[in-house]
Amino acid sequence: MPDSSHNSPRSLMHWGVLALVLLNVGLLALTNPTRAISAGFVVEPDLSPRDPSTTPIYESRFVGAGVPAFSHSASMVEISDGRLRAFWMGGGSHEGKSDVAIYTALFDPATNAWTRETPIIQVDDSQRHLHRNIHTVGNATIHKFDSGRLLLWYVSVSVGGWAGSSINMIHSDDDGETWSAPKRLVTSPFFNLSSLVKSPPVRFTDGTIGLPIYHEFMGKFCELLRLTPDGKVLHKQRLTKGRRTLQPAIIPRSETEATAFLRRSDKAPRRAITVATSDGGLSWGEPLILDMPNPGSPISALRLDTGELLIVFNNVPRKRDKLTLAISSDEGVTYDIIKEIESKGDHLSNGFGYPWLMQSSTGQFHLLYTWRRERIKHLTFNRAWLEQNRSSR
Amino acid sequence: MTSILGMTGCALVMVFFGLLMTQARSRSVRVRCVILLVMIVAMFIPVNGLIALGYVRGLIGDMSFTTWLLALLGIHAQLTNRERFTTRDYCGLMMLLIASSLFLYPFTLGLTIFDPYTLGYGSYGFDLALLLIALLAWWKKFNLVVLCLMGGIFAYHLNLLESGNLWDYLIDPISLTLALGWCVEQAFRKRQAMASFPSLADQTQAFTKIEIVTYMFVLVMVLIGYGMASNDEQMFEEVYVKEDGLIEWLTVLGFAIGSLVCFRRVFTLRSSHSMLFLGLSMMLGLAFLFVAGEEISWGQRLLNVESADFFRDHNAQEETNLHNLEVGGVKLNKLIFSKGIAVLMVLYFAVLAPLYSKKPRIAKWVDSLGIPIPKLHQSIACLIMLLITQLMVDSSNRGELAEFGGAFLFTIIVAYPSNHRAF
Repeated sequence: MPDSSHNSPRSLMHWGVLALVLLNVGLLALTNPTRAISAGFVVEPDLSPRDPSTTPIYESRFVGAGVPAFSHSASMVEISDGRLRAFWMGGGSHEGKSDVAIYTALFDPATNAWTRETPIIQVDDSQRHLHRNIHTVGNATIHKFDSGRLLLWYVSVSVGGWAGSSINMIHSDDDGETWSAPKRLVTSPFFNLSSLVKSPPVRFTDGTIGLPIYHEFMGKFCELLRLTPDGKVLHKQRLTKGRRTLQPAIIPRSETEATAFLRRSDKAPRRAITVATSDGGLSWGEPLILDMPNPGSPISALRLDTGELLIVFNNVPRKRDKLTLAISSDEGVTYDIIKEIESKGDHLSNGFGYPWLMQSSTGQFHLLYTWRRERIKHLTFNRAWLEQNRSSR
Repeated sequence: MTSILGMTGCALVMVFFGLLMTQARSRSVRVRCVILLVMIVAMFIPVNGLIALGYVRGLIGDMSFTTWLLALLGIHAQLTNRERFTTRDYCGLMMLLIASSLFLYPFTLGLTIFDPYTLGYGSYGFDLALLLIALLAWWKKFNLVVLCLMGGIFAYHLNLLESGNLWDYLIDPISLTLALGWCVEQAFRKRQAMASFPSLADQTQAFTKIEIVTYMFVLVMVLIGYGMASNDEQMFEEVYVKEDGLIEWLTVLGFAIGSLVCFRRVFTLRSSHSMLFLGLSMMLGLAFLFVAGEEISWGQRLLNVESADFFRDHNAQEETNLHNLEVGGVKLNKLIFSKGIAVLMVLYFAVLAPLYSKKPRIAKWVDSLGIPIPKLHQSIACLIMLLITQLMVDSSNRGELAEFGGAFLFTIIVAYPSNHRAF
């Protein structure tokens, strides 16, 4: 039926609508300023010089009691009493199944022992809290605030494989004993698909957090998500484009500079890639292909007080049969191998990977990594051991 | 407390699609009410501790205000057979939806560093653009556009969705689907209106059996390629699309058939059409033949041998340059070639084809030259094939699959063009 109302004179309601439009959008501009404001990185200090022990320490043990048959992708944080709490995904048989849960266990440096692991996030719970079907969970990444609050990000999948992932966030104010209900982070307009976490976040001087995330659906690229401490997304900046890179690990160098180590995700070259920023993460330069081999696995790194980088990576172009600790003074372009942490993998066992390198407040270094997809291995070493081994090579 | 707007949005979409698929509009009032009730009850059926609506939400996520409103209006139309807004109102909204989706979605897949989605986290430029669009819509009385914008922004102020990004309150992939569906429905309505001129409507867009079989064939082969590339990239590259492999020979076959169609046309029409027409058809046939040969590399090898010998003879000392030049030369040719093809494709499908149906003078000129014009479903098939091969197939050899698809689809266009009466 023909309608010519758009030619009729404007009624009072129409002018009222105009006022509403101006008010609504005006309010938008007032409450929604441009978020892409750099605040400057917080460079985490290297605490190892304060470690008084001169005896080299190099010890390893398995995390937890081996309850889940399959374990992968661990992260760790020091809680208020000096103990360490680890998080990883584990399950009955395989990643991607609905019996996979996020497990946690505690390490006591006084006794050098791990507690038995307990699941904290299971598919059923997530499903109930998020009011949508959840198929599997994975990739738990932990962060602790100065206030003592723990923030844990993990990935959940409703449809499809890891390409259909979304990020959720929970927090704990009692050192990880009890946790809040999950909150979903919306990071993509396309069904909020395919955002994942792996590496620890960076901190900004204004109290916000920079969470390194990556996408796996069609494009494979990395982004830096800027969040408030209670999980509101402020901004998102792309580190790379296309299909070449995943799992960024960002290590600040100064307030404005940082280097991100990236896992390569295409066929060639089988080498690690870095990108750098000099404006606090607002823009990133062209990707640089390093000499460092990369078999499609994530890298973990820490900055020492000398400015050098301590890097843990798979020093082979294929499979993950070797896990190596190296040191670099030029952001990974050249590096010296300190130790082959693991070197006897075989292709059936899926090797050793997904390193998480951190420091405790005593200055000791701790490394978690997936051991043959069955267990999480925990390695402890100190500055004395580091100095002894780097000079002997 | 989870997002009420998100959940109700999913519910409305679920009910709307249920009513749509059961063609509720064409049924009696009683049946319509029954279908509505069934859909509402179905939403709450628990499966493994979660209501069915939760599974829909897991699949499509939370709906924007626009989708929420469109689903509500759709349900109202299905139940009462009346529209609250005019076709003009809908047209304005749908065009805006498609345009903004074209701006937003391609970049989210990682093509560039620039990501328009980040504008939704807070940007004065974005706010200004929204203001201008809202004012323009208000001035031109596109009421539905104004309503969607105001509703979406208002919901954003109240943080009614899990998202903190303004885009998610304004559009989502379901609203784009609804917009495209609306366009298709409008096209069908126009076609029905033209049904009073059967000679025009029936034949220019008809489906033939061979076309349908070819679509199925191309789709199956492309999907096999996609499945293979996703699961075992090595097998895809070293068996399926390799040099002189299955896909490559099928591509040759496709182009060869195309050239045969052209040559046969030249033969049968030799006494009834102009020299220009016959000449161009002959050239098209030769072009198909050339591409078929190119697939099996005789053309490429010819060029390579020539350039290598030429430069070797003329540049014996500067070996580095020679190497660069040769490699650069081949690469440069390929680059120009592929970019040129892309431009030609856009001009052919998106400019010439629509112009043909709109301007009789251009139509006459095109017919006299013997340029085949694609039918709408042929263009759509080409687009879908391109999207699947370029966006979904995860391999650097995805171009081989696209060439295969193109070979058969172009042959179909040449064999069964929309302007077949000219042949």
